[in-house]
Amino acid sequence: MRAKSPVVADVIKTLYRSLGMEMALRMARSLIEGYNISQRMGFPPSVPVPAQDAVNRMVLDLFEEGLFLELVEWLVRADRQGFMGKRYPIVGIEEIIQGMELEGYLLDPESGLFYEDPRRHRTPGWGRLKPGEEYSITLLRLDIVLNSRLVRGNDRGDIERAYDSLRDMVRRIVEKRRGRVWLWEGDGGMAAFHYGHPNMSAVLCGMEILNELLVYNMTANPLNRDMQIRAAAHAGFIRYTEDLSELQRSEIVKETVEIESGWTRPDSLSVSASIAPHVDGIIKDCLLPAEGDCPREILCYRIRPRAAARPAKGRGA
Amino acid sequence: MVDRSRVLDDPAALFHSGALDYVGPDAPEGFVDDGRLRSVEAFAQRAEVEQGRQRPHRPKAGSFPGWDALSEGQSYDLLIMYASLCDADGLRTRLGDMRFTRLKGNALALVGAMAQELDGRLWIADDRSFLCLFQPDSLPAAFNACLGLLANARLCSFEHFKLEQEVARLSFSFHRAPVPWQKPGQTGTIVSDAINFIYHLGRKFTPCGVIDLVRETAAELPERLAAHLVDAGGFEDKAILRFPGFQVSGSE
Repeated sequence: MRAKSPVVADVIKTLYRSLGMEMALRMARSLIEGYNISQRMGFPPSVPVPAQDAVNRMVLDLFEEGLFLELVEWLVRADRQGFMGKRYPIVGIEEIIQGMELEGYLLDPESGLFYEDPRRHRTPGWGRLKPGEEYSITLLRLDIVLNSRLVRGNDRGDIERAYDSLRDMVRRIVEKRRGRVWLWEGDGGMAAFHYGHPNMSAVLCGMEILNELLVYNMTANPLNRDMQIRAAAHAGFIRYTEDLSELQRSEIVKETVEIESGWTRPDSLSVSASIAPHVDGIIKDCLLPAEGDCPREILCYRIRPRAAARPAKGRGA
Repeated sequence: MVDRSRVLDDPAALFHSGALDYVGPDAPEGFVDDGRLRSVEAFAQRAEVEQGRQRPHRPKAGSFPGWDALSEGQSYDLLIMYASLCDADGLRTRLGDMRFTRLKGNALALVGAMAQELDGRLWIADDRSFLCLFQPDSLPAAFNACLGLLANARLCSFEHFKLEQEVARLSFSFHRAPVPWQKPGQTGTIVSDAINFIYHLGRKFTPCGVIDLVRETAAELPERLAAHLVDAGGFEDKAILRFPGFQVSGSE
C-alpha cells in the first residue's frame, strides 16, 4: 500500500471529524507507546499543535511504522463496539473498508482484523503475521498412511496424479475457510488457521478432507489401494517465522505431530482438548473419545460407507 | 481383413473401428492358419474386456443435441434425478416456517449448482424435492456429485443451512428414460410415465441419505462405482439398486 493511496487520505479526513484531536491522540498512543505529537512535529510542549496537521502527521507516522492496518482496525472497533464504553461513529467507515479491499485487504467479520484478499495474494502469514511476534494459531496436520508402500506398489505417474489430487483437494478445502497450507511434503502437510473461527475451521476442514478423500477413493483413485490419511487438529501459540524449518521446531507443531502420529487411527481426524470446547452442536455430535489409553483428551471423527459392500483391495492392478 | 491387392491406403485406421487382423499382399500363402486364428480370437476377447472395463454401456458421444436444440413436446432419452429433502414436514415443524423456507432455498441453490456444474437442468422444484435432467450419459458424474453431497451432509447442514441441532439430509433417485421436453417453468401439463415413476420412487421407496438407481440405469456406472451398490428389491416392476449412504462416527 502506498502512503498516497486514497484510503490513507480518507482516514486522515475522517480521523479529525470523527474523533477529534484528543481522542485521535489516545488512539495513536494505544498503537505506539508514548507517542508524543509535539515532539514528532518539533513543537515545544507549551505551543498548541494545529489539529489538522497533527492528525495528518499521526496517520503518516502510523503508516511508516507499519501500523496502518491496525489503525483502520481500531477505527472499525470504535465505530462498531466503541472505546471504553462509548461509541464513536466514524464518518465514511464503510468507504474506508471498501478502500482497503481495493488495496487487497478484506475485513474478517469475526475478529475485526484485516487479512490479504486470497484472490490477489496467498502468503503463509495472510499478509499480516509479523516474524518474531506470537500469535494464536490452530494447526491441522495430515499424514498419508503407509506412504512408502503406496509409492513402491504403484506406477510413478499414478502416484503423482493421486498425490497432486490430494494436495489440490487440501488446498481448496483449507483456503475456502481462510486457512493457509504452511507445509506440504511428499507424504502429507500442515495447514494453519488464524482468522474467522480458526478452531472450528480446522475441524471442518479435517472432516471435509476425510469425506472427500473417501469419495475420491471410491471414484477416481488410480492406485491399487485406497489412499488413507491421519489428521489432527490442535491449537496454541506460535512465534511466527517465515522459516519453515523453524516453524516445524515450535512446540505446538511438535504436539500436533505427536497427536497425529501417536493417537490417530488411519482414516480419522483427532481433535485435541484445546479445540474441543470450541466445537458446536451437530459437529461435536460426531466426535467420539479416542479409543485406547490415550493420555490426552482427544476426540475422534471417522466416516465410512454404510454397508460393508466396499470392493476388495486391488482394483485389478 | 484381407487386402491382397492393396486397395486400402490406411489399414491401421480400420483397427480403430473394430478390425481384428490384417492380411496384406506380402503375406505368404498359408499365413492364415489355426494359430493365427487363435491369436485373432484372443485379441478380440482382450478388446472386449478392455472396452467393458473402461466404458460400460456408455452411449456414443454426440447423441444429445444440446438443451437449446430440444423441441417442446417431443420426447428425449434423458437421465432423471429426483432429490428429496428428508423428513421435510418434521424439519418445518422443528425449525418454523421462516427457517425452513431459508433451508429449502439453500438446498435448491445446492442442487441447482450441481445441475449447472454438470450441464444439466433443474427442471421442477416443490416444497421438499427437486427434479433435475441430465444428458443421457451423465450418470457417473452425477452419481459422484451425489456421493459428495451425502458424505458432506453434516458439514453442509452446519455451514450452508446454518443448522445447529440436526442434520438435514437429502436422498437421490436416478432413472434414465424418454422424457417429453418442456422448458423449466412450463412443466405443469406434462404427462409422463417416467416422471410419475421417479416421483413415486423418490417419495415412497427411497429412504433418507441413500442413492437409488433403476438397475438398467445403474448399468452405465463404471465397475468400481457399481461395486458399492446393493440390491434394494423392486418397485413398480423395476429392479432397484442402492448406494446405502455413509456412516459417520457418533451417528447410528
